Amino acid sequence: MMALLAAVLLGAQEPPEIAGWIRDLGDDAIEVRERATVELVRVGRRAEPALREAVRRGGEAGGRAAQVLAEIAKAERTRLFEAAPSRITLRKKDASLRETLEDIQKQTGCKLTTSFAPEGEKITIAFENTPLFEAVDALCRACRRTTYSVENRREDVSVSIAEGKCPDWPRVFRDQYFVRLEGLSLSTVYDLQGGGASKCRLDFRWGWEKGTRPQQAVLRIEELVDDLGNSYVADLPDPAMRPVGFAYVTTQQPVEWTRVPPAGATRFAKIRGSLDLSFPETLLVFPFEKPEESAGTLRKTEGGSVRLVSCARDRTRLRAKIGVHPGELVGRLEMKALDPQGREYPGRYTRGEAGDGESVLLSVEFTLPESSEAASLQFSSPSGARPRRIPFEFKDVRIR
Amino acid sequence: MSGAVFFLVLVQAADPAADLLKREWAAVEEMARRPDLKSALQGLARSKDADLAWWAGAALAELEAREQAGKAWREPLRVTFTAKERGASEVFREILGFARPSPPPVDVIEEDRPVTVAFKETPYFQALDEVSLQAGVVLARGAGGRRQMVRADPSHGPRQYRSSFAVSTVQLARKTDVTFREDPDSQLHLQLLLRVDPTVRMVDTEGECVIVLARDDTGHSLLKEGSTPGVRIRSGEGEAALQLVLGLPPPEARRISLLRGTVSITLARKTEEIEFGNLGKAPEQVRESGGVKAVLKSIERSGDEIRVEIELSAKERLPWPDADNILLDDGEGRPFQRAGSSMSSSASGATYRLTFRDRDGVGEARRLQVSVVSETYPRKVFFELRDFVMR
Repeated sequence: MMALLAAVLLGAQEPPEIAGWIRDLGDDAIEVRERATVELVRVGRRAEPALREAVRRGGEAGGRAAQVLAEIAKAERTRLFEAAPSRITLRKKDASLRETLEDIQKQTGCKLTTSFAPEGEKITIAFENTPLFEAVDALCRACRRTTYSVENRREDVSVSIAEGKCPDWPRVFRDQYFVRLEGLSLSTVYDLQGGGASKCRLDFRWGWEKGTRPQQAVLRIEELVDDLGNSYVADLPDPAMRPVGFAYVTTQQPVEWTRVPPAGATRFAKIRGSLDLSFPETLLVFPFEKPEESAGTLRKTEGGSVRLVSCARDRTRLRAKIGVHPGELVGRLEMKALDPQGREYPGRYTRGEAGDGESVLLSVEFTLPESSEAASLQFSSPSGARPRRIPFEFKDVRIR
Repeated sequence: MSGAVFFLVLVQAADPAADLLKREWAAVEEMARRPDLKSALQGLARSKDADLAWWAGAALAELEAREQAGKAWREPLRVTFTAKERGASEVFREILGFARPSPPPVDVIEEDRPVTVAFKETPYFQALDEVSLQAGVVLARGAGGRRQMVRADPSHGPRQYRSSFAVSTVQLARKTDVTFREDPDSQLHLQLLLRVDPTVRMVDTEGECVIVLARDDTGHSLLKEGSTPGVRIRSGEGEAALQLVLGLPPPEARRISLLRGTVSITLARKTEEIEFGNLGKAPEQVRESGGVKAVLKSIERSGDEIRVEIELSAKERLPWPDADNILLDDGEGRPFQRAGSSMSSSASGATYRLTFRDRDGVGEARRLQVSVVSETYPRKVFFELRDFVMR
């Protein structure tokens, strides 16, 4: 009876097409099999029970179902660091800016603030599965008197709408990302003796939606030519690889070089390149239940280990010493204490010193309300590197 | 007097306009000493002939400056001496000695290159600049009033040494900014530096710079409508930085052939030199001079530091001095080094908190001197620079 109830409940959660797609995994036509694979990965966890059942039944479809399950697991790990992009579907006719922003906020959960809401100005827009930044950009242009800025802070993002003409930045929107050329400058400083030093500079800015947390971002230019056919790629410095980190990943980058386009050049005919992001592949988690009684416990994963060396409570402070191996995990280690109700209290380092071999001994501290008990400590660190490339190509960028 | 010279003097007296247009700066300098020409110059300065108005304005500005300065008028500093293959630091110190009897030491940071100079009634800053250019160094300000000879490429480009002022080029740059809001905007950015003879004291008030003519070698005007030059007065250094934005010349232009402008600054006519002695014995001391009241609120030693608090007040708003004008010494003229300062001011007064540090060879702190400007006068400096190379 219970099994039947469970099956009924599961069946109620599964999209009805799942059974058909699983059947299609055994189809003779490769196109049919591939389409079924894509759809099942997109459905994700809700397809897992049916896929496991298919694996149990075996056969060709069972083998492919196992592959789909592995793909889904990989996609789930990816979503830890790269949330699915918002898709906005909205039609408005003669609506106010504030009302339209509220609707976008409801659909995306993204914080949209505005210091300017022109009364009387009516907006007509139609979005169909439009990514967030593309929608905001189109909205500001539809409104004509508004512009916007985006600020990424850790995994959060805020979009501010303000009064002003929205610059016509060369820009690209891809899923949850945008890349734009925010400014450009050419300068020649004369030495007043018949010589001088020149500098060109392109200022790029990019951003991502809430829930997306790359650990590294670097912009690369692959093609840069003016309208006279002069190429400048060979003049560009190699983009510096920034250290991997989570606390702050840059969202802007100047590209500088020293050869100014000749006086006859009036535009860059093409600026092509990519924003290269790197995401962790997985999250290593090191949990310690009842930490005050768990001194000496070692938690080990494939990517490293954490040993709880000591842990003691002093009123609101819970102080612990941990050994982290390898030491390179320390830079990306996040930590929290959890009370029995699951409330989280973030921790901080107070001291670090070299431990045995490649390990590092860290003193950490958590502040909890006096009445709260620390049921567990959880240390986590992203691991691995998964690249993501956001290509862009800007044409006919005026320079004079 | 020969017939020709007699005729020239007659022409000059009879027709200042022709004289100004013909002899330019030489005429300006002569007419600046002729109060009898004031009303004539006032008329000429309003002339529709822009050249004539410019030169008459320059002469009038010099003449009025002499009148307004009164007893505070100082003749422009001129340097006369020769040096053959002598270290640049030594030559610098000799030039600095023309401004004050005991010039500050000149520290050599790297190499002390030999220079050869022959100055005869040479303007003070022209002499300093010539040594800089020969030795490939710049003379920077160091701690405690010392000077440092720093290895660097001194600024080239046009410069003018007239009266008690030098106007020189710091940088010329051509810039284009694209913000994607409007069409690309291209401009020439010119930074100039006005230096004032150390015998004349400039005060911290708002300065104003006006460019009246800017022309390239193709004859195009480079004046940019609506652009107001920035002026930043650094009275402690006796300098004002001027930031000019000019229009972009056509591609075939190779130089800015002529730039004319004026800078309005404020100079000191009267200063009150206030001195506190017996430091440490009388905890709070009060001095009054020329309507300026100075109160030494406290002086405390802490380790190798001495902290001083002073209040200045007056019935009318004065250009309160900067910290460079407050000196602590050991009573024998050996100053302590200033390590920090803060100042807050209002219309009626100013409060200073200064920290001085012990220096080798300096005894106990015995004397505190404050120099306050109690009267000022406006000064308009005319400048004309030619041939800025833009290649």
